[in-house]
Amino acid sequence: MIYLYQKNKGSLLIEVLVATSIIVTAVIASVGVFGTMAHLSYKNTAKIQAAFLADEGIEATKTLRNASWNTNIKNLTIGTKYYLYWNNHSWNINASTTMVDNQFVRYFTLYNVYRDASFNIVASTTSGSSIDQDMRGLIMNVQWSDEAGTSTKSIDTYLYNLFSN
Amino acid sequence: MKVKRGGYTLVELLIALFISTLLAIAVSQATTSLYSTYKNVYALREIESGAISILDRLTREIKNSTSIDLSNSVLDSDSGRVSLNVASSTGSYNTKIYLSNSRLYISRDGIELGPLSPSDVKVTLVNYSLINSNNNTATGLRVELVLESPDNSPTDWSKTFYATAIMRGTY
Repeated sequence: MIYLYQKNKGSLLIEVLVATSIIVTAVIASVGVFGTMAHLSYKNTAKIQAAFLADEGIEATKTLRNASWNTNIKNLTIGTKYYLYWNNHSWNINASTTMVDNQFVRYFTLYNVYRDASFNIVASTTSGSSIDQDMRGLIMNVQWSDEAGTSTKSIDTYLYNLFSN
Repeated sequence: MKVKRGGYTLVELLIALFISTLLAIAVSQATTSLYSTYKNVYALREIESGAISILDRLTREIKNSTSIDLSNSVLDSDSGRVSLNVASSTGSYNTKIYLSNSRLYISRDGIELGPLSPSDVKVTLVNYSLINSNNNTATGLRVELVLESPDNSPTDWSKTFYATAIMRGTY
């Protein structure tokens, strides 16, 4: 049997070093990608905090509604930003910017709810519709800033004069 | 016949060793930062899932309740506890949510149902406040919750969460 021997040249030290450098660069680059991913996930907590604040805002306006619709809700101007703050065991409404933990701004706006003759909620443009004075649309917003800009979480719901008060 | 002999000079080897050392340092630093980043991401994820599981359950229990049992509750305290009475068509029971070894636990009629928070999260503050209501038909609780990772690392990562819930049974 005849074996053909080829001249087998080993790689040079410099070649090994170049190859290693390339691999190391790739590894470090992928670590950098992981860093970016981690940075994004750090921002996630603020979203969860904001979601709970928005949810709390809805319940807070409901406590005000429960206390007195006519005093607390009915008189508020449609479309104006109102801020909630917790003081002396009750929720209060403030017209000037109020921060939560110096990080989040929580405000809500109200809008009118229109109903037709059959008491269905309809668009304000529907002919024959009128404003339901015992109901308001409520948009609860929570806003916060990071280096990428300002983010907002919003919840849209209705408030009803449940206790006719 | 003169045979050319391969090999490296001492200088070549030294340079190669130097470059390899630099690469090894870079790799070890990348690994270290990878590990600490992983630890931070894990800690935050536990805090987030802890907040969600605690506050979801807590607000559900509060909304479900009919009245607060003030004698067994500790309100306006940084290590608060709450005892809620539930009256329903199928019977009445009592639910307590309390802090033990930096974890929140829930019990029903004195029988422990288990922890509300994951083991890798430390509850450093839980404060319940009763909402004053001039219409006594509807009151509720405001909850402030501060969570940290157990070894408190990174140190500035204690996160505060808030929730308010009206006791629907008071309606």
